[in-house]
Amino acid sequence: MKKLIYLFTCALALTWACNDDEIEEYKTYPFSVQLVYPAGSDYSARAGVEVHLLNTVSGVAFDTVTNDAGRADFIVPAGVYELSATDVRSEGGVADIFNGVKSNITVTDTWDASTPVQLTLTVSRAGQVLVKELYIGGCQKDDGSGVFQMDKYVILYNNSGYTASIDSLAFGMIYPYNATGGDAYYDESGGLSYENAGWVPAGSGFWYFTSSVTLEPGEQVVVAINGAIDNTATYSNSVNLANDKYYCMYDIVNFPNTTYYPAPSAVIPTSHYLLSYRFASGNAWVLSTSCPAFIIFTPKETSLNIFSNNPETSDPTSGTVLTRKMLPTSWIVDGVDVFRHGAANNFKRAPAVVDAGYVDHIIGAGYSIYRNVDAAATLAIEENAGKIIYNYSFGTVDVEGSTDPSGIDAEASLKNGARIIYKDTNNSSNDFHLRSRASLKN
Amino acid sequence: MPGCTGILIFAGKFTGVRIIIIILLYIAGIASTVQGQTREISGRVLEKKDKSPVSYATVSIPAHGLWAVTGIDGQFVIKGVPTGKVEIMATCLGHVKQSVELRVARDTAGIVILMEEESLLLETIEVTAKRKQEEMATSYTIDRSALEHMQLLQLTDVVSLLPGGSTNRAVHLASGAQRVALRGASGEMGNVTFGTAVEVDGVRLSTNAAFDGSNGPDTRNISSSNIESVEVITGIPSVEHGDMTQGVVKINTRAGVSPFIIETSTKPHTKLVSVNKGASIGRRGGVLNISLEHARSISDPASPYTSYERNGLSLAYSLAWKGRGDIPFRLKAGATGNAGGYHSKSDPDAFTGTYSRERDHALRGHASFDWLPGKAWITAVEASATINYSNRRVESRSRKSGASSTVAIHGLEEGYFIATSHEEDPAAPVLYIPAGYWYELAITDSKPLNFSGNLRARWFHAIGDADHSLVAGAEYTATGNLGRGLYYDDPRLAPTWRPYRYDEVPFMHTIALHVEEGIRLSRLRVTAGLRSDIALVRGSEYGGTRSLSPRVNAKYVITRDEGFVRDMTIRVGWGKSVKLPSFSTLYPTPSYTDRLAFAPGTLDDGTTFYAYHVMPKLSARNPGLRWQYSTRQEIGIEGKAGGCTASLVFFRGVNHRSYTGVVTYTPFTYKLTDQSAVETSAIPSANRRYTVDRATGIVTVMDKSGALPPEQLAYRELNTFSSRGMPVNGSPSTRWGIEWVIDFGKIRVLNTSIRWDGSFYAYRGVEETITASMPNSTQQMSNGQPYQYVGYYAGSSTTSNGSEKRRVSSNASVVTRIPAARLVFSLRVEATLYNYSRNLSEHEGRQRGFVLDNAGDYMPSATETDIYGGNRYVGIYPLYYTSFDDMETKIPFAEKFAWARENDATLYNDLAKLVARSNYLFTFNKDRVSASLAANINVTKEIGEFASISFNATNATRNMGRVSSTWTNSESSLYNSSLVPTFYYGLSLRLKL
Repeated sequence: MKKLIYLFTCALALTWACNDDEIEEYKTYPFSVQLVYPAGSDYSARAGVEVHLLNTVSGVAFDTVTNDAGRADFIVPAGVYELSATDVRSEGGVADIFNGVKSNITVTDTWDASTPVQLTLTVSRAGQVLVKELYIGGCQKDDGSGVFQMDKYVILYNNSGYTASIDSLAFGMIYPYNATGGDAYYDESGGLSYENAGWVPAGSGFWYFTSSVTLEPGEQVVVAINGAIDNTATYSNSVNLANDKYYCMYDIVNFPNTTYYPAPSAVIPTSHYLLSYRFASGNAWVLSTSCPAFIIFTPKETSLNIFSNNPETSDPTSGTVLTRKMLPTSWIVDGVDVFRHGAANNFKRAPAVVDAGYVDHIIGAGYSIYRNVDAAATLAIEENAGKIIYNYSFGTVDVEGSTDPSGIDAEASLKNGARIIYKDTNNSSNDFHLRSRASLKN
Repeated sequence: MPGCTGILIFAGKFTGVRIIIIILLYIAGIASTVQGQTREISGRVLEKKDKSPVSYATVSIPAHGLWAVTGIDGQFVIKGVPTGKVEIMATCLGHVKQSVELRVARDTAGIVILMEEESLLLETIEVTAKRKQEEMATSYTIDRSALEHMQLLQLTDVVSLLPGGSTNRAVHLASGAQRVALRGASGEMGNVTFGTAVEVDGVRLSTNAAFDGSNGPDTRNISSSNIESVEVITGIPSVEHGDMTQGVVKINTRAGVSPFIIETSTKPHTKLVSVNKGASIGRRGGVLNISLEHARSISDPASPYTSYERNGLSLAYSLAWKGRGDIPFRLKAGATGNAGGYHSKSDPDAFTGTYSRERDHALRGHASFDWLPGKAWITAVEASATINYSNRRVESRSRKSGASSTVAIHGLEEGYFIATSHEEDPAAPVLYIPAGYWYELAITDSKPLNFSGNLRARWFHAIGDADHSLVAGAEYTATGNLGRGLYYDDPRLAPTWRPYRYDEVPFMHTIALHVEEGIRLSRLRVTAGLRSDIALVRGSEYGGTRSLSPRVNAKYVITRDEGFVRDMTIRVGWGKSVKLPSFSTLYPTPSYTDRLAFAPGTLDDGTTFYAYHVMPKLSARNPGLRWQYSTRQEIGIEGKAGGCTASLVFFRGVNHRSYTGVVTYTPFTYKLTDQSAVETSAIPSANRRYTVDRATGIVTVMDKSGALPPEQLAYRELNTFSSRGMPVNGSPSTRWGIEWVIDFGKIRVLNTSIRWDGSFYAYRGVEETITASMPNSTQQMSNGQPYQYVGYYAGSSTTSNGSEKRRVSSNASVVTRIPAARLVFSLRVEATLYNYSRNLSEHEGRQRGFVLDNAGDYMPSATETDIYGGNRYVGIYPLYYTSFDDMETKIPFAEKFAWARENDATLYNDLAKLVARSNYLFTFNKDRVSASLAANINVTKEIGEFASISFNATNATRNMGRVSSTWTNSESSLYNSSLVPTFYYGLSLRLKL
């Protein structure tokens, strides 16, 4: 009996001793966090933002999400903590990433749980959506009578880990339409006159989406620039752009040229039609088939309509026929400056802030301008293990073109379930190569 | 005074015809009251070297209109020669023209005129343009020897031999049309090439029946090797010449007896070979001269497949005989023609079956019959007829393809039409060409034809030292086009196009009456003439249109042919010349506005059933159009001093009412149905059949299976404009200048003569005709809708509506003749010493544009007003504007724009799109290009009697210096510059058998 009493007493004592409210080591404290967004930001607190609290001594991590007011609440034991949070806001193919980190937060008996910890977020912008492929040069006709070039397309790709909304994304091109089109914008020192002006001269017109479009990480969208039909029936080397998933540039009022813009295939819903604002002459948006400077951008603090129709935004040196708009470089999400291969008079049009390099292009051979794979980033994704296909064979080095130095066959890897991260160094010389076959022909 | 009655009768109604009739009555009155004494002269024309007779030479007294043709024995007789001093002239193919001065007091026989064959043995052989001293108006003649020395390839080359002329920049025939512009330049206002008349053996190369604009004739189809001489009249021509404003170029082809001549010529881009022979046909059968020429020019020696070919044929026949009473008669007839043109058919670089070919066939025929009646009241009569037919068929065969159906709109009537297959309805206004591959052969068939009949009579009479000469004539001309216009060989594959047959356009008939009186009183000579052109233009608003062209020339001999300063004369001239319009002005090609009205999605087989709204643009003929004309004046002085001969001409001309065009806009609204309306249809896509209501544009989709009822599709309405061009008379343009020629005579020791010629040329033209313009092809309204305003500008919707230029050109020629070596060497240095031009912006004598402080501004500068102040941005406003909703109310632009700036931002933004601004600071800067020069070397060497060889090097030093321009304050190289001719060389060989 004494033995039983002894055991009961010990158990009771042990139980009492284990109450973390009483034992210093196991005592817990409320820990509230208030996310503070940068002053002047367009964004404010929202629910669902993940907040991460890490005990830097024990390695124990606590996660929770904010409420509508941007507040997150934890119950944590005493310790030294690092508090962090990330909020990603995506719009127009660009992600505004709000990050906050606060270290060496000591939770002890003196912890004042009544005052939330203020976690100040700083914003950074990340290029989410980029031009994965630009197919402009056309292909040989079946009868050998020349080149068919009304099958241009562009593929946009969400290169980030976040969902991207591209509703407000627009398409444009920098003047001159061809890299070989002269040095009108070069100053006496041989440099681009607008290199540091904060704008580029955008020509012809702009295209914009008319419906909501979002891209999940690793997702892409095909936009037919011309000929949103099955071009392969007549031109077997061409591409079939009649696909209900595809989008197309088609504005029957501004650009009624049916050679450039045959009525899109009936399978493409009209919600996938992009419309345009035109500010220069011409019944077609004549993206160069050899050497354009192609850009995607998102208007800020104004609408594309207002910007396009405001005479004050026109480059005063451009006149009324080939009007150019002074498009702020801060709006540009991605751009690729294309040179005509072998031409001695290529002039760069994209300033370094848009594209520090260029990519050589060969016309009429079915080639496309394709983005290189960021091998390190791609291989760092654990889920890609075993899904990456190597021995890329679509380079054009044998015709003085180029190839993807990573050796990764991106398209084959994508089909194999991999998630590809493409190179995005803001320099087309590094980021693109000339692919011997348009990816839609694969 | 005879004729006074007539003047009283018609007083107050002086139409052209009536005035000429009055003058004729007046002159007839004179003729009936004045009689003079005449004599007969006779003699022989002999070869100088062996005194053998020169057969078929023409002996004439140009001032009196008398002539005779030598027989086999070289004999000639001219009757009716007035007493007094006369100049007798003998001409014969291959011989140097010979003049003899004779004082006729009685019948004179035994006159001997010695002629020399043209050869380099002669010290007087001419290799430059020579001023025609005997003419009242400024005119020049270029003989065969000069043409051979310069290795003439095309007519436009001869312009370089005129005072201040420069070498033709076109080095071959495949570079495009070659047109002549006298005392003017292409690109200037006033249609100067259109106003320069070109005649081959009296056949006018009219372009009035052309539908491609108001341009002068393309002279590439004129064979160069059979040209005997070229006469260029830059002054005030006789009233015998009409339908021109700038002057006349008269080409005389070889006619008469000549040896068998073979000529070959080579230049980097061109090879030429020709043969010529002239012979008599029996004793009384006349003389026939035949020339053949083949020339081939390639545009690129590296790819010699695209070429222009000329295959010329020339026939010239003449026959002279004496009728009853020894009245001399002469018949001249001939034809020149060409079969050739531009083509690229053999180019192996082109896709199989594709080519471009432009026929440049021409046939020019002429016949004249003249005689000397020997009556006191009529000296000479000439009746002539000409015909000029061209075949300018242009073929272009190209390969086409389409991944979807291609729309071909052929509708001529207004309405909405849906695309239909050719098999279903070949006559459908809108067809579709199925996807796939096909050839398209486009043919533009233009066959201008003009023919004329001319009757001219001359009466000459002398009274003592005075004489007068009256020439009266009538001319009928018909002009039309026998071509089919543009068409396609396969109607199933014809693209958007509408037939417009040229041969259904009525001929234009013109009747011209002219009379000219020439009076010589001692040292004074005056000619005054009047020409009336009556144009009958059926089927147009223009109907019958009459015009009057008075012209006067006077010449006074200051010093006679004696003393140090001798043969000094002064000439003055004034004249008006009328240019008839071309068919492109009279019968403008109808045009259509086609708007895409329905665009359903493309089906799997590539078929798309587009529908279009077709709107014909109504006739844009302008009943207020008047004929273009010029008024020109010139003063010339010339004479000799010691061994020098000099001439100086001041000229001024104004081209009035130049043919030009303006655009008019008509608002209209059309319906547009697109795929979004089709998407909502309940009818399965496979069963859909579309129809469009022609009047309303409403599209109905029907169920082929009949299971579902028809559905009318939703549409939207778009407001836009239909534009059309309309011919109008433009503003005047002015040209003036000075031309000089100084021959310094021969340096006998060196057998070298030096000549300096040059010109100062000034031009000014400002177009102020009110023209409508709207930037609908470039601009939208602020709300994204099509642009809705039309601006009305003085002259042009660009900052510049005119220009001025001044140019001093100088040519120094050194010609060395070495008869003993049968060699002529010439060095010609062409220099442009002063070359100025500037854009202008003016209206009603005031500055039209305004200064902008910055390139992006829209409002005038508050501090600067002079747009010509140097380095200024310049803007212009329309005078007023109208809107889609109210095209009648003309709203003053400047005031409304200034108001909108303060009160209505949207309106301000939209109106700002009507403001034109200069893109550059230098637009209105003066452009003074520094001097440039080039040296041409020509050498001709005869090898015995039967061969000669010519070599030329153009821009022989290959000047690659640099010139500066004040316009942009920049320098540029003369290499490949239009400021100097291209460096090239040529070689030609002639054999006389």
